[in-house]
Amino acid sequence: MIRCALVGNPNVGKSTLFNLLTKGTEHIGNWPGKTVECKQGHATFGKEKIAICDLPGSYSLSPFSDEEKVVVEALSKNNFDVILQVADACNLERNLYFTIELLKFSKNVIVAINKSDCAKKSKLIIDEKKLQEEFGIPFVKISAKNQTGINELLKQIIQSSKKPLSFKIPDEIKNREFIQFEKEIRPFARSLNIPSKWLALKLIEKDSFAIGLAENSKKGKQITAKASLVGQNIESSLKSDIGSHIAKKRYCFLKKISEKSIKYAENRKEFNADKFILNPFAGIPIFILILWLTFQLTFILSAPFSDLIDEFFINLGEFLGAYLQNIGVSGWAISLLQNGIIAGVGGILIFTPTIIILFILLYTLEDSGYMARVAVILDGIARKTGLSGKSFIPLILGFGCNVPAIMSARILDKKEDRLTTMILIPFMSCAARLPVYLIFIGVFFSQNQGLILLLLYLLGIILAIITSFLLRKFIFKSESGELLIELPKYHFPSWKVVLMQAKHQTFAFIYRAGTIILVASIFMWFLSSLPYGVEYGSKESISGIIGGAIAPVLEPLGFGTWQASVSLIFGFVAKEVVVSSMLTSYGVGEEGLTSVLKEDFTTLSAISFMVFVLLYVPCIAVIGTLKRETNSWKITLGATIYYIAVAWIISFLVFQIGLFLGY
Amino acid sequence: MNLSEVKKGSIVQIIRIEGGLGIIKRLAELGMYKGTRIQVEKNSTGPLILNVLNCKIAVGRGQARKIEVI
Repeated sequence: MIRCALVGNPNVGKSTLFNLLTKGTEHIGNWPGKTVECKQGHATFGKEKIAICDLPGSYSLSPFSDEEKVVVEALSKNNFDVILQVADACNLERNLYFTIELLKFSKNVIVAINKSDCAKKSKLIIDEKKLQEEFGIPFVKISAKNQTGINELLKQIIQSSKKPLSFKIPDEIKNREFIQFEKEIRPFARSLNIPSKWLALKLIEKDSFAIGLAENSKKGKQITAKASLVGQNIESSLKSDIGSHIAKKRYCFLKKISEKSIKYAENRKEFNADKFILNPFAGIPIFILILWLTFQLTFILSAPFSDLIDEFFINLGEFLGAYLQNIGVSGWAISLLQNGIIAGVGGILIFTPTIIILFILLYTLEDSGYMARVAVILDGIARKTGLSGKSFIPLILGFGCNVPAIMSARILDKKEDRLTTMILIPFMSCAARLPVYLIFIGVFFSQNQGLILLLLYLLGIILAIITSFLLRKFIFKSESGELLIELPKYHFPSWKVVLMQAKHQTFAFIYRAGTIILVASIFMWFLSSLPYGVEYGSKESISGIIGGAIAPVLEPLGFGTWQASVSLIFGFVAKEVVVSSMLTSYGVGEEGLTSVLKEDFTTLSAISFMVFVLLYVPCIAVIGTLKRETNSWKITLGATIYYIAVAWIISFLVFQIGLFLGY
Repeated sequence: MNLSEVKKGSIVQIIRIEGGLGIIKRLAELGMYKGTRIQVEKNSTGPLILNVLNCKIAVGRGQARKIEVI
């Protein structure tokens, strides 16, 4: 098996190519042997099998953000047979800068020049033979969108994996002191299985990853001290800083090559959508309109499907109940099936269409190139609250699911920005909280349903802004990082990529319904049925006793019933469980919930309850992700306590002020 | 002058970038280093939009102030 890493700048069509090559074999997991998590799959060509590891988009091997650190870590820990770089034909020169970085690191690099169809359209001529000659590595023109050049690419991967290439990249620094330094660290580099020239260069550049590697070794201090000294001497002899010098040398080399191999067409006048989208006056209203449309479309498109699933489960429950009674199955087993499993799991699966559509729309926004613009549009507002415009990309993804959103905060360059953003994400109301709102809004509001929902989302956003302000003022006291982001060309989203990402998230949702929520529902059913002999779901059952113990704390918020309390505790597992556990503890199906909720809640306490569900800890998975990404129990626990406190205080205010006003 | 003072539409050359090694390297990877010519596509409020090597790059105003151009 050939092991191949897929790398490239962001927005070059890497995911589209990965999907095309691996055709449905993809999954997220640890790369065999070493613990680097990546999206992986495999391709077959003839008799050969190629395992492909898709790494995050990156501009170089000097990590600037934590996301890029994943790339250099993966490449240095694994001995990949081939590194496949995907490059964008339309700005090849810039993409080739990364190629040089890669060639300093590995001997087996192949470049796939993607979007060759788009290059043809804009009359851009690329001579890949010439590039091949100049670089000494294979260049293959492909179009992942039109699926051309793929077989040749696979052939090339197999060929290159067999023999190391002989490329010709000039050295940027020919200083004698540097060559001496490189010789000195050779044994150290060999022990790490990393090219010594690359390591020497990164060390004198004061690259954080390389210094980290050195500091973990015995002679670390000695090496970094020497590197810093050599670096200083080189800088004074060059009369320039090393970073600029290297960049200049490389771009000079690239310029020479591109003059021979790339013919640019005249600049065509294109329609510039950014005139409107990035307009200082129109930008924000357009953004709000797009967000509003996203949510509206989600509900309108999903409603008929949700109704169908709802009907299916009602009929299934009745049919199975009648059938099992006929063949003489005992009452408790029927109750477990009807009140526990079908009510719990079915109550959640109803929302599958909503989740699918929301994720498709969110990923469409991301893939079309709009998300990067959002960072620009909102940068001004963001800076006032102590965030960076880039923070909005993870925050908006948080409306889908908080877990991947927290992970995507890795795109932020500055540590404090990243920590602040991660802590704010749980205030973004995720898709799992939606079922709770939809049920309560359906029961208590016949009009203005959309408005109530919007207000809930806004409340989350406002609290996020306040929290951000407090965090930057008292805890992460530093200026937020300056915005620096590439704005990809707008393009029609690749449906395959969008659907695949949405599929992953939806399967995760259905998987939760079939695992965690199923177990929680069964567990809830037992708690509601035991001790033996009590009436199902009564106050004397175990869940009644637990709920009753907590209810007084929630009394001032307006929902001091044991059923509400128990459902909130179960909500820690996953927010959808709040609904399931209410269905189980009330012992009713979806259709029966209306009457029981109207008994236990007023309109005001329903609002207070929804606010509480919005704000208190999203779920265990979020806490786990927060711990993993912040690597700090202090921050994780602090944030958790903060969420619960905020939830209690805001719900308290909502309910008490509402009462005072006479609602 | 610095980049934040450049009018929309004009093409300028970078002569000096202030900042740490990290930011200088990142700008270089995006095609901005001493000697490159860049076009300013938008400069009103908020981040500037530049055209560098046929790519659109958004740069925060504070960062733009640290880039000296002629």
